[in-house]
This record gives sequence, C-alpha cells and structure tokens, in this order.
Amino acid sequence: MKNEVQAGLSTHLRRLWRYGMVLSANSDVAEDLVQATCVRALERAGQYEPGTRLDRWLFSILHSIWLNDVRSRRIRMGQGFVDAETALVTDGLAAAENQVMANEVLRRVEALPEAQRSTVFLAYVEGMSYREVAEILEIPIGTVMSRLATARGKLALKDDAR
Amino acid sequence: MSRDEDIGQSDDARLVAYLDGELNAEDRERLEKRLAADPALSAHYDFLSRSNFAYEEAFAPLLDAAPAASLDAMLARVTAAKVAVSSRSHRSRRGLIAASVALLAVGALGDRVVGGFMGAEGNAHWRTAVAEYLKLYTPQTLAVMTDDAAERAQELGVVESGIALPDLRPEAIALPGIALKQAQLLQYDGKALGQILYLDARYGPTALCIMQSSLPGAPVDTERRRGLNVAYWSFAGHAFMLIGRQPKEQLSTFAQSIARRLANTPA
Repeated sequence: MKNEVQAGLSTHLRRLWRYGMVLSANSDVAEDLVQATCVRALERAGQYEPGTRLDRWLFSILHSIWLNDVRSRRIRMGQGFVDAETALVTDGLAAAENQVMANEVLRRVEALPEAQRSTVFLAYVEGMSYREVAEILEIPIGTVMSRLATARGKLALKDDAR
Repeated sequence: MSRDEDIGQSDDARLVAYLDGELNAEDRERLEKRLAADPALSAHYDFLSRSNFAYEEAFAPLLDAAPAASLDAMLARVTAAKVAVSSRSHRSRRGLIAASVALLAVGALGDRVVGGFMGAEGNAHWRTAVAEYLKLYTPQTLAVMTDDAAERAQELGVVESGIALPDLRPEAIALPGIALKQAQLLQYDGKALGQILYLDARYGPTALCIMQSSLPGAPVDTERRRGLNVAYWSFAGHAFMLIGRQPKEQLSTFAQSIARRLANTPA
C-alpha cells in the first residue's frame, strides 16, 4: 500500500497543484499544499484502500489541509492584497483567438465564491461524480447539487447581465 | 437514488443534475415530462444549459503551468525524509505529522509569520505578490483612467506619506514616452506598499512598487518573476521594483534612471 501511494503520488502532482491554485489562487500556497498533501499521504498510506482511486483520496487530503490549516490561517492574517480570485488566468492565454472563450470560462469560475468554485472544478474539470465530489468536500450530495445549481446560474449569465 | 426525496431540492438543482446526467431513470423521465409541458421550466432549462462550457479545456493551461520540476524535486525530498524518519524510531508517526504541519507553516506562511517580512526570502516574496497582482492588469484596465497631472500629484502625495519616502514627485518617477496612470497605496503583510502604474503603449501595464525595508542599499538587479521582468534595488531604507513586459535591459535602464533621480531628491 505504501509503495502504491509512493509510486502514485508522482503522477498526480500537477493536478493537485492545479486544485491548490483553484482554492488559493496563489502558486506558492498551491505548491506548499501539494507538499503537505504528499507528507500526509505518505504518513497515512496505511489508510489508503488499494483498488480505490488514489487521486480522489489525495484530493480529499489536500482539501482538508486547505480547509483546516491554510485557509483558516490566511483569513486570520488578513493575507495581504494577494487574495483569492486572482491569478488563474495565465499569460499567453489571451493571445490565441480560440482561447478567448477558455479565458472567459476561467474568469467566470474564478469569480465564484470558494465553495461553489471548488465544487464546479471537481465536478466539471476533474469530471468527478456528485458522490465523489461530496466525499472529497465532506458535504451531503444535496449540497453539491445546490452549489452547482447556484454556480450554473451565475456561469450562464452574460457579462453585461452580471 | 431518488433526488426528489431530498427535502427542499429546487427545480434548479434538479435541472442541473439532469444536465450533468446525475438523475436516475425515474426522475429523468418525470422531469422530461414536466419540461415538455411547462414552457417556463423549459426556458429556465435553456438558460442553465448556457453554462455547459468546455471546462476541462479551459483549465488545461493551468495544468501546463504547474511547476512540474519543482514538484518532482519536492516529492523526492519528502519521500527521502519519510524513509529516514520511518527507519529511526517508534515515534516516527507523530514526528512526521508534526513535520508536515511544520513544513506547511514554514513553506506557505513562514516568511510572513515566522521570519518577518524583510528576510532575504521575504524580500523576494513581495516581488512575487506584486508580479501576480500586476498580471491581472490589461492595457484596457489602465486605458480608461484619465491623464490628469493634478490628480497624479495628489495620489503621489498619499503614497509618499504612506511609505515615508519624501518628495516623490511626478518628474522623479516619470518614464520616457510612457504614460503615468495611477499612484496608490496597497499593503503587503500589513505594511504599506506604494504602487505607481504606467501604461506602455508597446508593452502594456508597468508598475513601480516601493516598500520600506531594513535591507542595506543594493544596486539595480534584474530577474524574471511569474512571466514578467523585474528590475529591483534598494536605497535609503526602501525596496524598489519596476516590473513589466519590457525587455530586462530596458527595465534596468529605466530603473537606474529612477534610482538616480530619487537619490538626488533632497530629503
């Protein structure tokens, strides 16, 4: 089990980092979140059930570290002017014409409140089922549904209507 | 599972679950009948389905932006540390949990919480923060701002007192052929940060940022941070950085010119 976790970790680092970015909008924090996730996953490798999806397990570890440790501290500290909803739109994206819509989607998602943003990301970007999202975020499926419904309502609005 | 059993489950949630293929056959059928019979519900369904974007594609560039090499190196370090700890003693489990918390504290927040702001790394961190912030500006952000010399002078006065840098006059921070658009006070880690924004017709938003610093004076140096070029220096109890998309050489020339002018400013 330990070896499976150890070997599997390396294949999921970038996706974990991206989730860290979606949560924190700060690449340094995202990197530290991945590091803490790796440490905790290795420590708790015995709790991982072989045959289940390792990436789901890792996402839930990262989310709980974010929720219980990093975010609470950042909020307490006031966290300076680099606050959430900042830096998901990457350089160079704007250049290509066919990326304009992609950029717009990023902007709309990053404008969502954190709870909706993480739910939308896990369901629509990571392609997880409602049940999987609920398990990672440790919320009832009904809450996943209502978050997605509210988020969809905002995402569907045109710019001039928002 | 029957979604209809969820108490207070709104039509919105049901429609979205339908869009996402998360309704069971029975609920799906029931909703489809209602959609066929209810134009208002059907119109709302059309509205919600406008949020069917290519989310995965939109977020693919963010995956490419991940610092893969740095993450791999981190994993190698963490794995090695883990092996070392496990082979030592029975107390390794608790030790590692403590280590994971400590790593997080030092890594994510250390320079702000533990080391104080102007440690060597802290100094670099504020430049990262500025770079991330500046990346949000587009030429359009600044183009809508009017060019009003009196307004700029007044803003500079506010920045001047905020960061305790006397006589921050427009002529001392002007850049040749580049419009001065705004001066404002921000804060980083609870300390005042002066930000002076320019709009370079060719290279877009450019900023001069200044904070009080306990570091000794240092000449202009350049670096690349978050895809932007930075020329930075420190002088007279202040750290300066000029950041933009201009080539490093050009930024460095601008920076040296500003540094010279500010140094000649009578205190």
